[in-house]
Amino acid sequence: METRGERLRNLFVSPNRVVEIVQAMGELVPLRQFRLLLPLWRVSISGRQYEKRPYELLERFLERAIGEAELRTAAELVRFFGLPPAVVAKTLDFLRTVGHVSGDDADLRLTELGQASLQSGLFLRPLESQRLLYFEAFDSQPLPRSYYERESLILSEVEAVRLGDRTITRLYSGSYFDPERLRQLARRGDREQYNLPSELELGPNAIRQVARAYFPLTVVEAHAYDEHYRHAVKKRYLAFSLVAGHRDLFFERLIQEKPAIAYSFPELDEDNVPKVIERYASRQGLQLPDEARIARNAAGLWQLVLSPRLFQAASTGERQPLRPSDVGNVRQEDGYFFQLWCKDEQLRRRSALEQTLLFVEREQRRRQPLFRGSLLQVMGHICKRLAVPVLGWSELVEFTREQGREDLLEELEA
Amino acid sequence: MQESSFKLRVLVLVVGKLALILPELRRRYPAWPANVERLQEELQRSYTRIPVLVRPDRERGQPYLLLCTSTYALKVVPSSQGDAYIALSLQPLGHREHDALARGEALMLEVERWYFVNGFEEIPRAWQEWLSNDYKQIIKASQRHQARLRAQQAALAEALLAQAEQEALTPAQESLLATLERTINLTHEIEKANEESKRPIFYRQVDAAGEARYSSRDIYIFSLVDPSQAAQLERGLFLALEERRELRGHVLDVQGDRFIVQFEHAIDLDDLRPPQAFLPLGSEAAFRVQQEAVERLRSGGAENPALLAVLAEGRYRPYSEPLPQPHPHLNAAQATAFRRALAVKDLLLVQGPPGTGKTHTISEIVRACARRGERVLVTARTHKAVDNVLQSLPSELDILRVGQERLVSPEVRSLLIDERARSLQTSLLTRTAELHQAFEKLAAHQDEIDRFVALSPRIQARLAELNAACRMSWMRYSQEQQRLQAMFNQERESLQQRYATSQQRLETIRRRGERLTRSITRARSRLHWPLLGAFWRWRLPRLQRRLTELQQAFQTTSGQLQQLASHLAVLDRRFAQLEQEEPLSSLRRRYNQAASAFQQEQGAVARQLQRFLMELRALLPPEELPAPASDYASLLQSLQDFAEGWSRRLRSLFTHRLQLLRDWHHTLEVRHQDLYPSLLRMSNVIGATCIGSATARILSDVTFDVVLVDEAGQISLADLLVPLVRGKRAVLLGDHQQLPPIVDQTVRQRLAALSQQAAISEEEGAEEAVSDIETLLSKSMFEMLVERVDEQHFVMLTEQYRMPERIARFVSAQFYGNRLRTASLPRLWHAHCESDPLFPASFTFIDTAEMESSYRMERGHYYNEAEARIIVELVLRAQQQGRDWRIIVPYQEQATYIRELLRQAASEDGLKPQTLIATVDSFQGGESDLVLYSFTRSNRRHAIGFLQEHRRLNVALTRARDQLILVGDSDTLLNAMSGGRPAEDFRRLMRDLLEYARCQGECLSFRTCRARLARGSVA
Repeated sequence: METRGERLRNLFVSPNRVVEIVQAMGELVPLRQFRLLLPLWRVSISGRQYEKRPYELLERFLERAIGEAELRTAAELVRFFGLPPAVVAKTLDFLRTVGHVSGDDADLRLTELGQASLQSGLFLRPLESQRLLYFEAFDSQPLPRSYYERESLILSEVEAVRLGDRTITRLYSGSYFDPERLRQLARRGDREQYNLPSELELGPNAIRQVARAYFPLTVVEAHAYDEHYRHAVKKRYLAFSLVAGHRDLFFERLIQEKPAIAYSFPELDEDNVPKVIERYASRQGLQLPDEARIARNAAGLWQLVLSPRLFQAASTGERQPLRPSDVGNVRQEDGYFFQLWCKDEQLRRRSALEQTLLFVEREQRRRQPLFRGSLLQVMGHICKRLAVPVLGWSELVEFTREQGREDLLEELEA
Repeated sequence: MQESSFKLRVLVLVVGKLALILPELRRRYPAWPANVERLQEELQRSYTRIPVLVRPDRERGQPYLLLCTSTYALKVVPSSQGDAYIALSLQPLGHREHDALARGEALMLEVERWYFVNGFEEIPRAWQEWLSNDYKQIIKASQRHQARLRAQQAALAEALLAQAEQEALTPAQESLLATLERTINLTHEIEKANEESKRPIFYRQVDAAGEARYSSRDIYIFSLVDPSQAAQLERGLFLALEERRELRGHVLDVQGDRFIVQFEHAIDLDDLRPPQAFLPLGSEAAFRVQQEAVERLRSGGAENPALLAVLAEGRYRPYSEPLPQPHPHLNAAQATAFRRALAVKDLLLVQGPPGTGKTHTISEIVRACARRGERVLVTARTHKAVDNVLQSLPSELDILRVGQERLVSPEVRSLLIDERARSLQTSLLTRTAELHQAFEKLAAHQDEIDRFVALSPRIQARLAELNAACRMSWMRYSQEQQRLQAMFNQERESLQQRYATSQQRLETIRRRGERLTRSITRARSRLHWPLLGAFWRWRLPRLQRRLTELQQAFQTTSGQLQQLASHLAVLDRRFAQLEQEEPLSSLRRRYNQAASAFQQEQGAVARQLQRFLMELRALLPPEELPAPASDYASLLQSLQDFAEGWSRRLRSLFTHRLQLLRDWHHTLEVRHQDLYPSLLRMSNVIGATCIGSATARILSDVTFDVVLVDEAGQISLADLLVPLVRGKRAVLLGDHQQLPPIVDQTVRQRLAALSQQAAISEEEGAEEAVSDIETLLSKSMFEMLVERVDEQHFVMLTEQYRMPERIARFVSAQFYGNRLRTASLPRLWHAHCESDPLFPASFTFIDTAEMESSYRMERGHYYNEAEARIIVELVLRAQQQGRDWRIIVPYQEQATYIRELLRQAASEDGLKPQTLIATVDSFQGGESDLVLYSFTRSNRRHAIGFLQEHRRLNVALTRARDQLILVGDSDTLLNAMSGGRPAEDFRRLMRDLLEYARCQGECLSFRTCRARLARGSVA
């Protein structure tokens, strides 16, 4: 059973990652995020697909006899192949059932399917095949294949309700699924890109059911500023999801095309940000400005800069609101981003190491295999975030030993 | 979520204030309507149905309404008059609104008409009477909707919970599946350990086998390094490469030091380069299949999804049983079993005590099912049992036996799929041989036809030519003939005319002559007349002169006439000879030549065409071939049609058919295995052992309508499961009062070890788990099911046809609750042995208790000389009497000992001792007129070992058709001990047996027996 925190983490991109990506774009400062459940239509369709398998001996010969050699009666088939009449009758019945042969025993013909099958060399058997297709609910545009590879992210209506979290908004599209969109999709040459395989033939009543579904999307409001971050000169909404690549261009475009979605975001008042961060600080029991200060870093990201003193109290066993491993992480309060920071580089180094170990612990708990190479990569990310020089393997090992947690790395060194 | 709706005929909106602020708003939200006119347009066009949210308003006290489009929400409050709404502003749909809408909280307002006014004064006066904004009703409707929504959500949550519960497996089912899995794993481990101790099989050379055409390159021929290992190999053995276990297959054939393996997938020769070795994987395949079966059972993927419920909880599905009807070949109980077998939906259990005609019943059931078009699997633990059933089935059913050739009984070998494929192949080749020959023959001179057709225009031309020539020469001839004829006719005519003229003249002359003659005569007569006489004397010479002239003329004319006549004759003669003379004769000759040339040609062409047509008629559709030609015109037509038909269509059709037939023959000749799937499809009845049905590759995808299991009392569930999951329904026939499943020694030891482990460990339920495994292995599924089955799904066959009633009565009382009855056949009620003076009783016990203990004791593990000798004597006597006899013993050593004794004693009699002595385990299912059983155990401790198993005794007692003679030590048996304690059940059984023998049969001491034998040999 996963906890709520885990569930959310599995659905939405983490603030750390979001901030990383936006910062990497340059010039934009990520200010706040909205966690949305974007409405989709889950359309259950059924179509006809052909199972292809090698021909069985009798099937092939009888079909060749009817198709190529124009033997038209069951009696002729019996005579030609020397087969017992019962066998011929049974095989003909079967071929009729799958739609390869038509006509009674005195006038046998191959159907179109039969001919196509014979030509292709594979026994084609029509099968009713069902499939789920997803369309976004604002314009009924089909979702590209990449979304199907992460289908576990898509929530059904019931699951969305169960998620019931005040910080997550379920959007409402106000429209109904347009069946014409399905027909349009079927006509496209690149329909495979939208998870509709080209071998699947859709009949006139292809749609069996349309249900609501939701896609978890993080929308980030980012501003470009003038000097000293006085005025915002540009405002952009970027979208993020856990589908590969993390920045979700498909939905980003949707948001641009549907202003109603953007209109639903409340106005950002720059003056509000420090107040929000203060609220967080006071909740953590931090005294401003002694123990913590609100500032903006060089890149424009809001930060809550913590005094190194806070972390020295570790040994005395006082109740500690924050640990070194918290430093460098982006938190959000009411959606507003701010990064926990400390000016002390040593502390930040320590934070990097601790965070790495936490990562290892978590992966082991989830029984995920972990390799040295990927761990070093993760550590690299963390160091970058913390603006410390990249740490090496030996330093990690040493730290682990200091902490008496050699067991964590045992699995790895293997 | 259902939408609730509320209808409003007209929604009057006062937009004065809104109109003022709209432009300002639009600066922030460019996608909104530019002005109120546009707004009205949009609403009227797209929003005759608009969701409305009710929002509390602390300032005003009463809630306001939010009318939501996809881009904005219109905030409105009711007017004080209750007739219209005032539009306060437009606002974006915030997240709270989105959420509420997504949750379905909105009420749908159905507005027929939107009416915008700048101020109240603009509202039409005429409307004042009826106009209402229905504000209060809307609020109420919204509240009701909320309540309904909450209720719905609660119900949905409950339903989901219930569904989750239902789909789960019940504890009983879980437990059965878990035990099954553990059992299978356990047996697999043990077998694997066994196998690993075997030596790997090395090969020194490998070649690809089979034609390239059929190679999926999966068949290879290997040469052994150590030829003696060939004994380890057998057809069908499953093996894998030692170094690369994923490359595996089974042995197709073994010859000398070479063996052929067919792999599961196509493999490169490189991968097989020697030296490498194979490891036999006997159990691997069976293991995987068993696992799959359990998996299917668990996931509800068995052919009968209700199977798990049946097996784990005894939950059967009710079915409507057809009315009882007498069956021509079955007794009442058998008929009941028959009826129910055909109607039951999941599982039917049939208990068949010995001699009750189980095989017969099975045969009827199979027959009926096959006739209904169902596919039946007949399966049992042993090959013998399967073959027994198959042999009893009529040959018109399509029966297929699947299994290894060596193990299948000879009578049934022809039903093996390989055999059937081969014989089908042969029959197909034979049946089409003639046709094939005809095709090939034609193919050989197909070019003749081609040439013929190619030349056909020329042939036609030639024929026309000849025909023309013929006609021409005829014309010339007849023309000439006509001309000559005309000439002749002309001449003839003129001659005839002259002849006629002459004839006329002659006639005239004659007449004149006659007249003249008369006149002359007159004149003469009148010569002497006085006066006139002188006239007449003057006239007479004139007359006479005239007459002479006339006579001359007459002569001349006659002469002329004669001449003419002869001219005519000559002419006629000449005319007659005209034909012989030129030019007619040569013209005629020429015509004849032309005619015969033409006839010849026509004949030749017609014949050739006819020949081709005859040959083709057998091979191509006759309606496409031209009809035989009867005359020149139709011959030309036929020729034309044929040439056209051949080039356009018939040639290619012929080629196609020829190719098809060649391919057919080729395929048949090379790979009869290709016929396997077709044979499978054709067959209604398939026979295989339980494990065989699991491991045979060709059966891997086959499902059955009915699975019939014989000897079900001897099969454990793990083995039985595989065929069961493949069948839509099943009938299990068995007798749990006879021998249970055999548990392998090694497995037993392992279980004992596990059991100890479990006892020591404190793991919860571990001991139970082990004992569950034990149960699963040693109790047959049949027995477990019978304990819980309902009346509708169980039948016991009650009439036995084998044993004499005296024996049956005992067996029935002891093992079948007195329900086993004997049929009313005379020989069962008056056994043949009753006429024997020495040993007349069907049920005879010979007691060795009075013998000296050292003599009657058992030895070894275990054999008993005393009992053996008694039996040998009895047997020799039976042999002399020519009776059919069998000896059954509990222990292999006793069997060996008796066999030896018999061999010594019977060297001159030509006995076949081997097959007539058997242990109980190997003789179940058999029968004999005379059966002799030796209890064998006789010792001071009164230990009886596995004799205690009463089911074993049941089997021994129920083999005899005429007489049963038991030999044992009553002292040991009546005081039997087991595990240091009295074996109460066995003691009671023996007491009953001896009592019964005394009353209903004979209970003799060995002395009496010997005395009788001595007496007998003297007499």
